[in-house]
Amino acid sequence: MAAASRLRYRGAAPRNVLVLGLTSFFTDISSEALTAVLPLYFVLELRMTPLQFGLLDGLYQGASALVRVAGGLVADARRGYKPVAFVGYALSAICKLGLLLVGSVWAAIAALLMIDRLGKGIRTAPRDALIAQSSEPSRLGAAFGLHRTMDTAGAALGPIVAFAVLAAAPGAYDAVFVVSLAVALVGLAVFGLFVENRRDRPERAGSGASARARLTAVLASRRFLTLVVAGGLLGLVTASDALIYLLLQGRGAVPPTLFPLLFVGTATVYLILALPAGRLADRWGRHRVFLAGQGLVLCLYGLLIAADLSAAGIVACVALLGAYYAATDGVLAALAASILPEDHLTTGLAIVGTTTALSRLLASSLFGALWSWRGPTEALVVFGLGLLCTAVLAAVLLRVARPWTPATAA
Amino acid sequence: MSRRALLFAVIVAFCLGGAGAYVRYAAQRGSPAALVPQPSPGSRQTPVSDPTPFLSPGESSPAGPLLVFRHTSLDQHNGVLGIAPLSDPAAPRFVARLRCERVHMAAGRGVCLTADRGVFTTYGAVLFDQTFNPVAELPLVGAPSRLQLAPDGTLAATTVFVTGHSYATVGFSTRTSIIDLDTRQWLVEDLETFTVRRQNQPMHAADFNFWGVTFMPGARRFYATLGTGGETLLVTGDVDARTVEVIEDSVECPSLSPDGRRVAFKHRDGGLIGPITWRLWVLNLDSRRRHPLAETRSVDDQVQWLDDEQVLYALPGGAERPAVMDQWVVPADGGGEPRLFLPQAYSAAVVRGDPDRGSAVSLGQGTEVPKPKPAR
Repeated sequence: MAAASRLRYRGAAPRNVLVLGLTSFFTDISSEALTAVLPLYFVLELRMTPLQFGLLDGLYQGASALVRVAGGLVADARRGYKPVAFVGYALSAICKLGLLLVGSVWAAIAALLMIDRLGKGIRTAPRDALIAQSSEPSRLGAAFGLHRTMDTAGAALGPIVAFAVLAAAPGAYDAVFVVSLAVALVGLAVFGLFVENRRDRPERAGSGASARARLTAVLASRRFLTLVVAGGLLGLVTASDALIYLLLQGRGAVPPTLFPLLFVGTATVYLILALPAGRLADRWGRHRVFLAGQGLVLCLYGLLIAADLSAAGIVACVALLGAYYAATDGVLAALAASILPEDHLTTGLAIVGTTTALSRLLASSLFGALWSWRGPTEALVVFGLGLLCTAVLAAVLLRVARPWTPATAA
Repeated sequence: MSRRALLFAVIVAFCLGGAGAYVRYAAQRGSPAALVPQPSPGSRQTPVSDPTPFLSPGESSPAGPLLVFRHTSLDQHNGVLGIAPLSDPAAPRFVARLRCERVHMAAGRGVCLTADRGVFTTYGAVLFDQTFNPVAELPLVGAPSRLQLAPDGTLAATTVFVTGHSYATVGFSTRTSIIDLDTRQWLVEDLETFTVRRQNQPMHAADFNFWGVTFMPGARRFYATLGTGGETLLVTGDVDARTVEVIEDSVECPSLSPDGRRVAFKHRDGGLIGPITWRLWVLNLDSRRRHPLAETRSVDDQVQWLDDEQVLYALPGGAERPAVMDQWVVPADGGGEPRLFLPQAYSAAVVRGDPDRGSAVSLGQGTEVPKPKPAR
């Protein structure tokens, strides 16, 4: 394809990456606008108990993680990153239309939110594969960094859009659903019209391999397996941001009116640092930046263990958390993409993402259990020591990892 | 390429234009808060903002017990504090300046839990006097859930949901606090700081959650729910000693009868994954016997006692108007049938006045607004 060389590299960012970033920008405005008002809608308007949807959230995230691998397998088998991701984006848009129509039927709302999560699960890996395929191998970190910046900017804007709508039309949650649907459709249009499906080479004979054969082939690579294990183990000792915010609230006596600023602060730091962190990763080494990110979490744990926090301490914690995401989320995808063969790119990205997501889900329950059993400081000490050991182990393991050679891919 | 750009422009124009038009329509169609009467600037005072006597001295039954509630119709009065004589609840009047998620009153003092929806939604407890004038406001840390005043009007207990936010969802926890209505300050910021005892043994757990306080008449003592490890325990507590003691299990959101001898509560039935359902029960505190009430629908509310024989509770108005709550009443002895008591009302509470002070509630001046249209 003649356009390939043009797309592959032009200026700071390949066009396809920019367009994918724009898609995520709109999609995140849409979904975060919704999630920002759903608790209010459920608790204050429909008089539901937070417990009723809180319980399901964990289940959804688990299901989403599993669907991600299935989406990856299909995308690789058909070498159709774009169609699979499109289905994922479309499912989430349909869910917003559904919310508008079903009213308050609890089971229907639960089913729709499930579909939204599944859509997210399906699209994530093929989208990351498209990003990887659209950028120079030496600039993968920067490409993922740019995408995460735009993605997070959308996530930060979403709640603002939602509450601007509620300010204009108080109590009109259906108007928020309509705006969310409209923005989701714009995102879908950006994706459908402007993203180019990467298909540089004709299909190979091996691309039609069975799902099982494909999984075996991906996991047969020791370098990839090392990365999956390292990512999974590190996830197991990383407390979720929700828990960090709860700890901050307890330690630093954050006034309730300022509580939402913790989320906004983290997102802002993340979106500012994502691109520089990606560039640094390309230059200095992706595994090093990824490990440095774990060091930031260790510092965060340390600050939280050091009892009462001043305002500056709270700001430092929020900055550390945002920097951690900048140094790890996109960088891990870049790291995986750089050692995966093209044939298994989506499947591999999905496996890394799923492992990390599931291990962090488990970590949340683990941290919660420790907190209940012994207290927050004890939970932090256990997680801190665990993270220190795991990070040292990961440093040893990852140092060995080098770009995947074609010989091992076959 | 340019055709693609054109198609994109059409889609964007259609989506954003449509969304904009819908928001404008929503803002004008009589959505709740937008239409709460505001004093129109620059013009002469309109009747709705004119403080007219809520009930003039000569009017009927000013001394009788009252009902206060959150009005839930889908019109301009949504959320507005409603007042009605208990003898004629179908003739409500409204206090436009108080918009409450939950409201309760006792002995001439009231509390209104508010949600100020904005980019950052904030919550507060507005303390008001017998003329429905706000006298103080305290910030709340989450969405209001329960509110109950002591019968003598000296204490108020609030329960709020401390939920997650858009970027991350924390499970669910509650915070229950007590306000001293004499000093207008928090007396207890978090009930979880109290010492808990069960069968005379100290009890510890990090997952303690309190909710649904109900005060005993004439004492600074209360009943409440303690949730821990999947159990929902009935506790009795002492505000000054800062202790609570477990006395029963499987009791949620207790509400003490006016005679102080029975507790009405909701009892959870199953539903680990599907919707949770609650049935209404009554526990006799002397015999420790309990029985279900005739209401078979799921009720998620802290019920109120209409009198010593009947309890009052809220139910959603059905699938076509889920955000509209209605007040129902059912006999407390387990017999009879539920009957619709007051449509378009939530958080209804009976204001009986303080027998010790020998006077019923004085109504004073309220800001009256016209009676709303019936529900759609």
